[in-house]
Amino acid sequence: MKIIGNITLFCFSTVFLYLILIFSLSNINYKGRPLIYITNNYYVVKGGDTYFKFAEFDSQAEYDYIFLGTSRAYRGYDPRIFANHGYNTFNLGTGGQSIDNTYLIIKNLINGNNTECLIIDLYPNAFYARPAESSLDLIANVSSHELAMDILLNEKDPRHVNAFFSRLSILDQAPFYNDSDYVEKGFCTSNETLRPYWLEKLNSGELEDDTSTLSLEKLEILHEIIEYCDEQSIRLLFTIAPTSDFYPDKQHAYFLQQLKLIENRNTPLLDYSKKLKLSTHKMFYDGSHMNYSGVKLFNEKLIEDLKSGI
Amino acid sequence: MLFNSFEFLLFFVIVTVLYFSLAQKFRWILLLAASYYFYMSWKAEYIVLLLFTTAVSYYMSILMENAENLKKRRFLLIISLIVNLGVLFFFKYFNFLNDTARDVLNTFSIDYQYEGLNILLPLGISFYTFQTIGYNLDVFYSVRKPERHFGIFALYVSFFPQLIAGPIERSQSLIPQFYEKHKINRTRIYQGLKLMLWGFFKKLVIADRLVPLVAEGFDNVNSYGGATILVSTFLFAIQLYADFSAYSEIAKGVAKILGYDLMDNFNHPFISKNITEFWRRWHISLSFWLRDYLYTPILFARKKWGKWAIVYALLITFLLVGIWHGTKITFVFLGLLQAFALIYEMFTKKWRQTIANKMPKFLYNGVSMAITFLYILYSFSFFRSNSLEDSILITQALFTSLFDINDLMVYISELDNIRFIFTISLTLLFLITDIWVFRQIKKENDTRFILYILYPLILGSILLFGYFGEVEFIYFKF
Repeated sequence: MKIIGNITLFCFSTVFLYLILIFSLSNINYKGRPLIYITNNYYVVKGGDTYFKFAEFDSQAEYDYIFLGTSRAYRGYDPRIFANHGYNTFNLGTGGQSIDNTYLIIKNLINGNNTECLIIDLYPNAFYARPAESSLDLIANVSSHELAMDILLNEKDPRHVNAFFSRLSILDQAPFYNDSDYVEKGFCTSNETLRPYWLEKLNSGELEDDTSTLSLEKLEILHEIIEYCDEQSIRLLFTIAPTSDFYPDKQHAYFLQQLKLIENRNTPLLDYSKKLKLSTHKMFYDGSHMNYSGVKLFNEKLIEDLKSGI
Repeated sequence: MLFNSFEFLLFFVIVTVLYFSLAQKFRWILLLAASYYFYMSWKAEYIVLLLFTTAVSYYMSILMENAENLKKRRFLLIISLIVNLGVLFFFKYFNFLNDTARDVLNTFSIDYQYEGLNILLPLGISFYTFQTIGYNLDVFYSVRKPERHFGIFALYVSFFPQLIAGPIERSQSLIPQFYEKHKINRTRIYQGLKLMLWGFFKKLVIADRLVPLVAEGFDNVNSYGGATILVSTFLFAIQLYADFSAYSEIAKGVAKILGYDLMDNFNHPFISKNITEFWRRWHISLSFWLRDYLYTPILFARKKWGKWAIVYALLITFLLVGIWHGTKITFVFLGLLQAFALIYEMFTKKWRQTIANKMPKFLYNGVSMAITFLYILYSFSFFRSNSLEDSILITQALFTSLFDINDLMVYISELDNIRFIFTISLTLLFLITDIWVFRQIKKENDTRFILYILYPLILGSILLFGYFGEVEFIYFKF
C-alpha cells in the first residue's frame, strides 16, 4: 500500500510540476513570444496561415471543393479562382501535412453535409514516417481541441504532449504572428519567380535526389480516406500539382508505383506533375512551390478538367 | 533500438515481466534471445559477427584449458586474438587502408581503382570484442577457468544493457551473476529506475541539446576566434560526458532492475586534479581494461628499461587508444596528448608534491583541477575536430585570440541569444548538481523532497526539455 501511495504521489507531483512549468513558460513572454518557444526549438509558434485558416473555416457552411495536402496544396489551389467559376471552396492544406493528419482533419471537420468534393493533393513527403513538423503545427494552431487531441494521440512523442498542453495554456492569447503570404480561405501565395538560391542550384544542375522510402503504413491510410468519403457520400479526387525541374522523374515514377495500391478503388488520380510543362524559372519560387502565375494556369486547367466531368 | 526510444521502453518492460515470470533455469534463454533481438533490431545480418566472435572465444578458451603446454596455449590465444581483432580491424580500417593504398599507388602512376566496400561498422563491435579478448586473456593467464556453458557465455558477450557501448564487464564479475537467482527486489527496481531517469535526463536534456551549439563552433572554425572555440570545446566536453555517462547509467539501471550489477563507468571526471586521476574517473571500464590487458603486459615485457618502460607502455597504449577511436589523425593526437600528460605527471610527481605541501590545500587542488580541466578540453577538441587542419586552427585561435568577445557574441547570436542562455544555464545547473544528484540516486531511501520534488522535476524536465529527435549515443560509432 505504501508503495502504491508513493507511486501515486510521485506521479501526481510529476504532472503538477510539469503543468506548472508548461503554464509558466507559455505565459511568460519575451520579445513578444512565450518563453516556451525559446527554450524548445521544436515548438511551432501559435499563428501563421494554419491558425488563420482553421479559424476562418466554417464547418457549417457548404463547400463545393475542399483542398487538403501539404504546402503544395495550400499554395497551389486558390479559392478565389474557383469562386470566379461559381465554386465555393476552402483550402485546408498545411505545411508538411502527413496523410494521417489529412485523414484526421477529414474525420473531424469534413462530412457529407459540408463538402461536395474533396481534392487531396498528393506528394511523397506526406508519406514519410515521422511528420513531427506537421503534427506540431496542427496541434498548436487548429481551432478544434478534439482535432488537436486526435493528432496528439496519433503520435508517440512527448513533444506533442507538450505542444498540446502549451496550446491549452495560451488559449486566451492572440496569435503571435501573421503570415504575409496568407490571402484568404486557407490559400497562401507568392509572386516571386525562382529565388536566387534555387536559381543557382538549377543553373549548376544540382537537382534534388530524394531516395526516402515511403511508409507503407501511411500509404494504407489512403484506403481509409476513400472508405470515409464513401460512407459520407463525398466525392474524392487525388491530384498531383505541377512540379518543378527539381523533382526527379525517377522519384515520381517510384511515387506512382506506390500509389498503385489504390488503383482498384476507382478514385481518380489527376497527375499534373509534368502535364502543364510549367517553367521552373518563371512559375515556381522555389523547388516545390508554384508562384501565383503558376497557380493561375494550374487552377484554370484543373477547373476545366473538373467541368469536363472527371 | 536506441535506449531513448519508446520501442526500447516497451521491449524492456516486456523482457522484465517475462524474466521474473520465468523459472530461474530458463531466464538465461530469455535474456540471450532478448539480447540478440536487441542487437538485430539495428541490422539483423550482423548477428553473424557477434555469434562468430562468441564461438571463437568460447572454443579457444576451452581448447586453451585442455592444452598440453604453454606454447600451445599461447598459440590458441594468438589465434583467438587474430580472429577477433581481425574482424574489428577489418570493419574499422579496411576502407581507410584501401583509400590510402589507392592514393599512394595512383601517386606512383600504378592503376588501382578499387573503391572499397560499402560496409557499416557493426554496432558495439569494439565493446564486445574487448570483452571477449579480456576473457580469453583471463583464461590464458589462469585468472579464471573457461565458462563451459555456451549459452551463458554467449549471454555474457551479448548482454543487451551493456552490449553496444559498455561498461566493458569482466567475466569474473558478470558471468557468476547469470547463475544467481534474482527475485523481484523493490530496492533494486527503485534504484535502477533512478539511474535510468538521471541517464535519460543527461542524454535527452543536456547532451542532445548541446549538439547544435557544439556543431556551430566546430563546423565553422575558420569563422570564430579563441573565445568561441573555447566555449564550443567546453560544451563538447560536457556533451561527451553527459552522452557517454548517460548510456552507462541507463545500462546500469536496466541491469539493476533485472538483478545484475554492472560496474560504474564514470565518477565525475571533471573534478580530477591530474590526468592520472582523470583516467580513473573517465570510462573506467576501458581504462582498467587497457591497464590490465595492454599497458601492464607491455610494461612487464620491458621492465628492464625501468621508468622508460612506463614511458614506452604509455605511449603504445594511448597511441592504440587514439587509433581505436578512428582513422582520423586527430584521434592519434588525442591519444598522444593523454600519454604525454601521464608521462609528465610520472616524472614530476615529487616536484608537484613539494609544491602541494607549500600551498594551501584548497588552492593547490583548485589550480590543479583547473589546469587538468583545460588540458582535457584541449585534447577533446581533437576528438571533435573535423580534420587536422581544423585542429591547427583551433590551437592557433586558443593561443592568439582567446579574448575576442565580439566574436563570441556573433556565435551566440547565430544560435539565438535566449535559447543559448537557457541551454547554458541548464548545462551549468547540471554540472553543479551532478555529484549531489548522483549521491541521492545511490541512496536506498530518499527524503520526501527528493522523491516528490526532485525526481518529478527531473522527469518533467525530460518531458518538457528533452530532445526527442532520436540522436544516437556518440560512442555507438566506436
